[in-house]
Amino acid sequence: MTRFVLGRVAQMAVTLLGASVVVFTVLRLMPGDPALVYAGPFAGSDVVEAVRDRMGLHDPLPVQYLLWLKAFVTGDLGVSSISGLPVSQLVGSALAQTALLTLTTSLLAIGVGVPLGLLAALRKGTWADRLVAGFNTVALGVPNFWLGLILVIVFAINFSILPAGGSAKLTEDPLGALTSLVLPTIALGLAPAAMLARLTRGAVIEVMHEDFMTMAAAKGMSIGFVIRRSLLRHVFLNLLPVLAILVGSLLTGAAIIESVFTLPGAGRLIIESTRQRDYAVLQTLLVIFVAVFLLVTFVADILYSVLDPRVRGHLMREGGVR
Amino acid sequence: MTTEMTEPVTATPNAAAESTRSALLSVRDLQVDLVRGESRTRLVDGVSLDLAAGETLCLVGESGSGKTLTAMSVMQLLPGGVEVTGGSVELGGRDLLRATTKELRAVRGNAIGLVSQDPMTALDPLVPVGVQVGDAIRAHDRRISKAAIRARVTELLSAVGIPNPAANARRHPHEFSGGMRQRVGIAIAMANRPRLIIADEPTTALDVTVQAQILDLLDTARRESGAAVLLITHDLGVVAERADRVLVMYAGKVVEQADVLDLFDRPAHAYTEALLRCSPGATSGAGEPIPGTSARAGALPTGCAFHPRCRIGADRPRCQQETPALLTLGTRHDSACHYPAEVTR
Amino acid sequence: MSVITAPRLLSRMRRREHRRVALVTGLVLVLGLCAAGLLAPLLAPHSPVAQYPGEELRGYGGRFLLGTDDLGRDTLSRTLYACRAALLVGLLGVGIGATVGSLIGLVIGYVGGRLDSFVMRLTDIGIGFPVVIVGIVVVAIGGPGPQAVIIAIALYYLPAFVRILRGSALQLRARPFVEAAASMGVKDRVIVLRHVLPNALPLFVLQVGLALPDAVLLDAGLSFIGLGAPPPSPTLGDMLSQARSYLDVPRLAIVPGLALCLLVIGLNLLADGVRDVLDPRESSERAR
Repeated sequence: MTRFVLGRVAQMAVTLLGASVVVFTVLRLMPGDPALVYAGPFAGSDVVEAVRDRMGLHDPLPVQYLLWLKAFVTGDLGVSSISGLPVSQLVGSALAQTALLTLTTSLLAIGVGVPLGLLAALRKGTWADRLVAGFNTVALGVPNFWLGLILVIVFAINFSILPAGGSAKLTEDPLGALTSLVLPTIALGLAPAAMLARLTRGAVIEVMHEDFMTMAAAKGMSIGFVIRRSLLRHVFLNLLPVLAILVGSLLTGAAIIESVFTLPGAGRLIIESTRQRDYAVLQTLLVIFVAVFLLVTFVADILYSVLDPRVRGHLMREGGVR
Repeated sequence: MTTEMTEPVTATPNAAAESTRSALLSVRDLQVDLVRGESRTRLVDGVSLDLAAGETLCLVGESGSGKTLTAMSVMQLLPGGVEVTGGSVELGGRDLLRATTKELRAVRGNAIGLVSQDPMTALDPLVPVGVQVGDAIRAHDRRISKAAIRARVTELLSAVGIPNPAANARRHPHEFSGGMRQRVGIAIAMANRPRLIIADEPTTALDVTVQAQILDLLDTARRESGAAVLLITHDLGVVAERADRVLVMYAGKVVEQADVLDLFDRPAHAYTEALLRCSPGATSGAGEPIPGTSARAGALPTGCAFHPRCRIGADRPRCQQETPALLTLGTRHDSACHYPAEVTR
Repeated sequence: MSVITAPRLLSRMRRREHRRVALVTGLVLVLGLCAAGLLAPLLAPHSPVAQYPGEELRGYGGRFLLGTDDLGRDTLSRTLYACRAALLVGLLGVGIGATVGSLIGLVIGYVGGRLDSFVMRLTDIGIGFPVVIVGIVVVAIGGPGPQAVIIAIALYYLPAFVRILRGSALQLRARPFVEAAASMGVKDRVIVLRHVLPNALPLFVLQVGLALPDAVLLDAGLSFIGLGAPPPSPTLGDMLSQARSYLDVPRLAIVPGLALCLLVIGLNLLADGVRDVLDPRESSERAR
């Protein structure tokens, strides 16, 4: 088991390293000279040259990459070439914001999607099933940013009961921070909720066909008992592989939703730093996005092998990879 | 522990029952259909059977003959789209077809224990076997303590011959061999001391060497608990050794029923004869296969459904046109063959 | 479980009816919007880019059926042209990503070995990777525009199609008829093209169908944050982005938004219908 985990960690590290090379190279392919941007339009060529020198842009690409990697690993993320603020500070607060939004959205998606999917599967073919199917079709068809706009128009402008966005910090104004998350969470979470409802319904129906479910009924177990004992475990295992994809789509959505609701999150920061050719910020953010994504996949993998005794037993005996 | 459920069996006078003994399970004219939209296919057609406490009744037939559906109709655990559309199923005088879901749940796993066909798939791979046995108890006794469940589970597992039961209860199904899993399956079926055990081909998925052990275990369980056993099999060797009575099914109908010795000595249906001939282990059968393929539900031949494959009736107009009725030939021996006298051993 | 009742029969019939209704609705919506998009030059009462001074922010009705925007451009005409652009970009993006991805998947699935595991590692990173980032990088390199969005969408779907078709190729490789062809000395290339590819085709069509509605959404999302076609030419995302500055005029957000919703819902229903046709077993169980 330990060997399996260590193996996966090593694999993840290699993948991350590869991804950082890709990110680094791609960013250098971007048109536009960061030294020029940093120095400003009125700087003379000698000043630009000096900036370029200071930013290390004269070194060959591999050297630049290794220098960046060394700094990154030692925790030195550099400063933003636009605002002059330390990248760690900029990225840190933006990530916190996005993490919070992703968390509330995941809670909404799971809290709504899983029960709906369960209901639809258990009442398969009834009006409840059809109602859920209808909800799914609509929810998956409504773009989150448009829903965001409509929610703002209705709740923030027409009724003025919820803020249209905001930058309240959780630590300073928890209530304000949370209420400003209500509309973005709904806008962002509706489609994932519908996706989860569909997936859950499919997984439940699949598990219901298993022999051991018939056996559970033959034992006289009530439906609630069976759901708690068997069904949810199997459904969760079935859904685990989708988790990473779901988080990925949430991050994508967050970037757009953050700009609708003017939330100071990582998605917006990515878009802004791209416009401004802010290499230091962009590079860090992209690598962190990849890392988060790999981490989610990794956690899903580990969870899978911990929760399924067959895989777990296999790993304990073989000490190898699945 | 579940005494409130095991009320004494009250024998009910049943006009149709020819048996003089009191029947624990009495199925009358059971009809099971596959319903798809407006089309219906009859899968089980007019099956009646009686089973007394302590007795073993074997349901015999090829796959697709409706024997499993008949047995599962008793528990009302039928696959999607398959429905009981007629008849009655009485357990201890109570019609299970009219029972509410809640009442049914109280019967399943309590008065009726099920041993399934494939112990590989009938146990949840994610749940330790001890918990799965314990669930059968907890399902019928909400207030029982965890310690009491654990004690009873250990007792049950040791009764079915699982070594070191307390430790093995914590293991998962994949850590057991097929035979051991089926022992766990029997422990689950016996958990609440059922009055009826339904065993659906309990040994087909197992190694030959373990089959006898599992059947012995079932026999022991039956003798010690006084339960009735409804044993579904296609193995006439098993029938000869274990059954008191035999019910032979073909294409959803009962074609012959008799006491076991009677059936083997004096088969009275051409299909039974063919089965005896093709089963090498059973008696003196020579292992001759039955010609042709089993009749398919929804595309049954006219007359006697078996006639196209029959040694006697293939060319006889009566067999081709007239559906034979299940008629009594002698004591507790019925046959649905037009020419029972021509059937030989 | 007991005797079948009339209401139950009725509900069965209605359920089937319901599925067909979904397919037909999807077809009507998609075909309708496709036709509207294709025929935009004929249907649109005005030019999508023409600005009518003095007619800014008109309401419904009158000369401008669905009103005008802040620059006095006809909303209806812009929406029609934008639908056309959305379908085109979505189709091209998915089409390119699916074709390239499928070919890679077929090859690595058939060849197997090191190449296979290496490419699969890459798709591990690629699958579900936030598409906005892909889009941003593409735009950063090539500048904003429909091509950037198409490439971003193609890159987004590429790894998924690699995986799906690889799985299918793996399965097919083990099938008797492929093994037989290989044992008779048929060239690999021929086997892939003649046997593996046609058998994987239904799956391909199905997956394209499922990807299309998402692709249209992605296109709108990317144009919404300013990565799509540059201003005067209309896109749904861009129109919605514009509407953000005039939240007190909800009409500007509602018209293109509803068109986008109908388009996506129609494509979704159509995909479900396609799945019904291609895989009837699956559809009754998992399709909703």
